[in-house]
Order: sequence, then C-alpha cells, then structure tokens
Amino acid sequence: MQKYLGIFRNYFSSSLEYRSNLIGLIIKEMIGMGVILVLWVTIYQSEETVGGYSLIKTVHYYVLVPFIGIITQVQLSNELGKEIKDGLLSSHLTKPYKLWIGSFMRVLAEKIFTLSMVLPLYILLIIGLDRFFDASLLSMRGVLLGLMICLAGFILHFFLDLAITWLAFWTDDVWSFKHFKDIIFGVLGGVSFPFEFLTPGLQALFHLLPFKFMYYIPLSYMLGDRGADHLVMDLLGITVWIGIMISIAFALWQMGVRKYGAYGG
Amino acid sequence: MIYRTSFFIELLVEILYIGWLIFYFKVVFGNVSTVSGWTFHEVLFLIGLNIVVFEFFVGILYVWRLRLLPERIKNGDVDTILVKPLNTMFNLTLSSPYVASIISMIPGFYLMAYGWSQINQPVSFMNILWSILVTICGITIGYALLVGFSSLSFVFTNAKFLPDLGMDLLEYGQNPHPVYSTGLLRFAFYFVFPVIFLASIPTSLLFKETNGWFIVLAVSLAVLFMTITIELWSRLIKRYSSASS
Repeated sequence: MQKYLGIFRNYFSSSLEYRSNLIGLIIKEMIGMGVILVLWVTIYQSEETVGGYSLIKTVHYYVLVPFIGIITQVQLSNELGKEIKDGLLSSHLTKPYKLWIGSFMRVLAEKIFTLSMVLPLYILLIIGLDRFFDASLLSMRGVLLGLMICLAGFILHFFLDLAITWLAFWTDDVWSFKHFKDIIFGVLGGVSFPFEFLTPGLQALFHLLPFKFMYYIPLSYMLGDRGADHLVMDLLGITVWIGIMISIAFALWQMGVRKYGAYGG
Repeated sequence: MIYRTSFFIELLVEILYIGWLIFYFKVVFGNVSTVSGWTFHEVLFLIGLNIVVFEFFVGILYVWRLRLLPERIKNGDVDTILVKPLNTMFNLTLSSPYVASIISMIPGFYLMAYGWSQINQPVSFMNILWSILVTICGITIGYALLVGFSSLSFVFTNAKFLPDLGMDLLEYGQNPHPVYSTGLLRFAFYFVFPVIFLASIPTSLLFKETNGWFIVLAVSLAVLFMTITIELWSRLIKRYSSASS
C-alpha cells in the first residue's frame, strides 16, 4: 500500500507543478458550458418551458455539468495510451506494482487536486445563481445523493477508460479515443441536454446504457428530479456496469500485454 | 494511410462528431420552431459550413501541429524547424493533412447542399462571392486565434490546454450569430473572438441579409488578427530554449 501512496503523492505534487493546466481545464469547461447555455437562454426568450425544464432549471443543469464532469471524468486513455504507443509501457512493467492500481492513484491524485481548487469556485457560482434568480433549486439531501452517484460514476468511468486505454495495443493513434468519449458523453451521458428534451423512445434507449451514471443521473438527484427511493436500484445498476467494465478491461489487458513489444537500443 | 485500423477509427470518430452536431440541433428544433429567427434548414447549412471549416483546422493545424506544440517546446524539440530557412510560424503550425478530417469535410458539404436545397430561395452571384470572401476572412481569423493561443506555450511550460482552448472557442461559431446580439456577448464574439465570421455571417449573407458592414468588418479583423498573431509569435518564440547540448 505504501508504494501506491507514494504514487499518489508524486502525482499530486506533479499536479501542483503544472497549475496552469488546471486553469485551462476550468476555462475549457466554462467555454463548453457557455456554447450551449447561450443558445438555450436565447430559446427561453420565446418559450416558457422546454421538456418540462424552466430557464432556471436549465441554467442550473448546464452550470453543474462541468462540476459533475470534474468528479466523474477520467482522461487516462490519452496519456497512458500514448505511452503504450510509444513503447514506454516497459518502464511500468518492470516495476513491482500493478499498473491499474498505480493508474487509479494517478487519476485520484489529479482529481483531488482539481476538486480542492474548483469546489470553492463552484459554491460561489451556485450562491451567485441563487441570488440572481432569487430561488434555490439545490437541496443538501439532493446534492449528497448526487455526489454518491458521482463517486460510483467515477469508478465506472475509470474502468471504462482503462478498457479504452488498452485498445492502444492494437491501434497507432490514441487521440481519437478522447474525442470519441466526448461525443458519447455529449449525447448518451446527458452533457449536451437533459434526457427530458428527447423523445420518449430515445429516453428509454439512453436509460439502458451506462453513460447516464456519469452526468444525467447525478444531476437528476441534485436538481430534485430523483429521490432516495431510486438510490438502491441506481447503485445496483452502476455496480453491474462496473463489473462488466472490469471484465472487459482485464481481458483486453491480458490480450494486449501479450502482443506488446518495445524495441530500443 | 499506412495504419488502416487507426484510420478507420479516426474516420468513425469524425463522423460521430458530425452526427452528434446534427442530433444536437435536431433536439433543439424538436422543442422550438426557430432560433433567433433561423430555421432548421438555415442552421443545417450553418452546421455544414462550420464542419467544413472546423475539420479544415483540425486536419491542417491541430492534430499534427498545434496539439503537440506545448510538449515539443517543453522537450526542446523544435530546433530542427528553427534552423531551416523558412518562416517558423507557418512551419510549426501547418502540416500535412490528418486524412480523416479532410474526408470528414464531405458530410459538411453534403449538409450545406441539403440545407440550401430545402431553403428554396434564390441566391445572387454577388451574395455567393461575398459569402466566400467572408469565409476566407473567417478562416484567417480562426488561424490567427488558434496560433495566438498556442504561441503562449512558449511562456507557460507544458500548458497542453492552450491549443485546445482555441479549438473550443471555435465551437461558438456553430451557433447562429443573433444569439450573441446583446451586450458583452456581442462585443466578445463580434470583436474579441470573432468566430461568427467562420460560418454564421457567411450563411447569413447567403440567405438572410446582405450587410456591407459585416464584409468590411470581416476583412479588417482578418488583417488585424493576423498582424497581432505574427507580432505575438515573433516575440514569444524568442523565449524558446533548446534542450540539446
């Protein structure tokens, strides 16, 4: 356990070293949120509600999307996939530790650093929003339930991303993986719009997939659309998906590492 | 094209991105009939043009050049470019195309053609010319913005987010420009980050209104932004230090 704590400490320090990347992440998330928000605010000038969502609820939804993303997002495939592609995996293989646990510690360290910086900003933003609209949509109970799902969603996303990372054993470019995930979460996870904006058929389809646990479901709890009575079923569902992702990730690792070759002088 | 599996994955991802954009606006127009006076088919043409321009930037600038620039600077890896008797800015920012992106322009052209056919409105030859001129100005502005942001990598070590930041800002170009018609948003997207000239204004010149002010503004901003970026690049590149002995 000591060695994994060491990895955690190293990556936490490394996050501190490149603080400008965190500022970049915040600006990037704000830009992404702004593109969508500006359009919907314009639409609400002529509509009272859309898909049962009022303007204040829609604004809260899109403002919270980046925050949820900071907890549930995992961007391991880009970095680790590149290391596989460049033949740098060998340095990990020779070390006496399990790569997936080391990677988990790496992601966790970066996440905790990011959250510690972003959380105060978000609390201020939500207070500002409540003052601006003179109404509050968030309850402590809803936020706590949402955060619980977020944590489970983070673990699910970690193993999903790990499975995607191991695909680098068979491909020569990993940039497209990150892009691929952004699109999938954009549509199927609820980043681009709440499921209520969709037709009933599409809503039913999207509810069958695991991506809803990364954005839409936590947001539903936070905005009070989902109560504690759904929690057990949601956690059960997420656990099943985590099990599936773990199986896929480990199967891909077993196959990939046998195929892996690094050549150098 | 040597790595066929990767190529098909890249192509699939680019097509998915286009599918996502269409789906997004389909959902929007499933709930409302117009957005700031723009119909679905006008927006479809706008998305098509935006895809063409965006994929051009991804394919020629971003994937093989700007995305990797912060890391190359950190590793002191741009020496070989600096010693060549060529313009460093163009040499470090323009590359051979990322093929998947170039192919992904085709659906963009298709959307433009489909949107135009459904709008069913005569368009004059002059309007087409103005629209093409403003698109070229928009591409110049977009290039200047992307390179401007990326050139800050010479100051902030390993700031991998900088090239992404420019690309993210370009996404504002996918909305019809009237959504940015108030106060601070107007100032930001008409003058500071004028991404509305990439696709929205050219679409507007074709189907909505011939506004001479937009044409003058587009040409002026293209010249201004390019001048600022060249100056910025030549100042910031002096901060580069090689990693080799």
